[in-house]
Amino acid sequence: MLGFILVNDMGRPRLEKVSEQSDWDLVASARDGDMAAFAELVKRYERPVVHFCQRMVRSREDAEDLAQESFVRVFRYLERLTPAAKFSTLLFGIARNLALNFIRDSGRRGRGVTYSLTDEDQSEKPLEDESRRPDREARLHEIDERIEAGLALLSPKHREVLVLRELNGLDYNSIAEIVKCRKGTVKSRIARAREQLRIHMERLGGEEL
Amino acid sequence: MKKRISKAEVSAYLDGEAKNPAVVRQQIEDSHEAARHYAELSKLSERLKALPEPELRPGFAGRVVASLNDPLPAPANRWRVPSAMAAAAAAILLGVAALIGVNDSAPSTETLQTASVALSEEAAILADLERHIATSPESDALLSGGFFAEPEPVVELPEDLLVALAPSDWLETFTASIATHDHRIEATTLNDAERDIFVQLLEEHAVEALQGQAAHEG
Repeated sequence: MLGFILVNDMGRPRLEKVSEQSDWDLVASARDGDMAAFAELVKRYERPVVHFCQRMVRSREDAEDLAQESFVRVFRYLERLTPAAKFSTLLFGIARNLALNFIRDSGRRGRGVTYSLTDEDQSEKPLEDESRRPDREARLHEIDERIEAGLALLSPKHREVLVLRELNGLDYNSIAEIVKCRKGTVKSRIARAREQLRIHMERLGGEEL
Repeated sequence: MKKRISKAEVSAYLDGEAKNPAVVRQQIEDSHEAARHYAELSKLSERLKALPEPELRPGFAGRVVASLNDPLPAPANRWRVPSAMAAAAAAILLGVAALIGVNDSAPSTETLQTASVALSEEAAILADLERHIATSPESDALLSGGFFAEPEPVVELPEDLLVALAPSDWLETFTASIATHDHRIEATTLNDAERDIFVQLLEEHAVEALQGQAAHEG
């Protein structure tokens, strides 16, 4: 959707494309009742926020619900937002809290994602016939499945920092703001998450990546 | 003797966040082990980044905008601490408070393991907690999600309340490690550095618990 908003350019009204506005300019416009501006914010961040939520809670439907709730909360507290932090940091922080609550509540209700690590589950997979090498695409798909399974086995604290770093591309400072810990803690958690993921993947039947 | 770099430094180097990237780079060039570790992390990172993104159902932004008119849930007036968690934390609190306050002498195992809590003590802790939350200037921001008005809301709670907010299973693990003289905890005493870490962990858990509870009730 392409829209325009009216901005006050040194006392002269001017139309500006919504897509060219900075995040905080859009927040200011939304605060004044411009729904096109808020919708633009949603469009900018819907994919990364849903992506993050899905890696945390595993279900696409739940991830979209959590992402939607994150945007709704932002909208409801527009009046109180301040540009002291990056908008994306605020948004991811809310999404992170909601995802962690969801995981915690799912655990209490006895739900949750389980990935089997037992040998018997691996034995249900057909043995590879070494005389027929799988093509590269199938091989990569298999690796992706192991990575997904390994990610799910990480604790939420380790999974979130690894997802924010590798899949959302955030730097350590931004991650530290989102998860509310020191940069050094982010560094050690990411290192630990990578090590644990590597170990999980080995157990899940992995040779080299 | 060359200082060996940690795996965490290699991991940070991969992300462009190493403190001394030149040192890490040199180590990777000089050490087969460091080079292998870096290669493994690089491959893992490459595959993680290549994971397919989830498909969004069409019209996500429209659904968000449409939901903005939904009525707000009723705000929670009281911040509740699960009583089971508070009771367990209070039981451990008595032992841990003694531990924090002691520099040189080792607390007895009985203090850590056998503290019992009268119902009146649990109620007093809960009342203190609720009063502190209600009067804290940061509590409003936290109950709203924790990111408004100030970039990083900090709720300063006394240590006994921090312990009361900490997950009971975490505290049990921590104090069990102390009781069994786990070598990582340096016998039964906490030095200044360990106490700082302990308090920091408690603060992190406390903020997380407050934000989580607010999000859950909000």
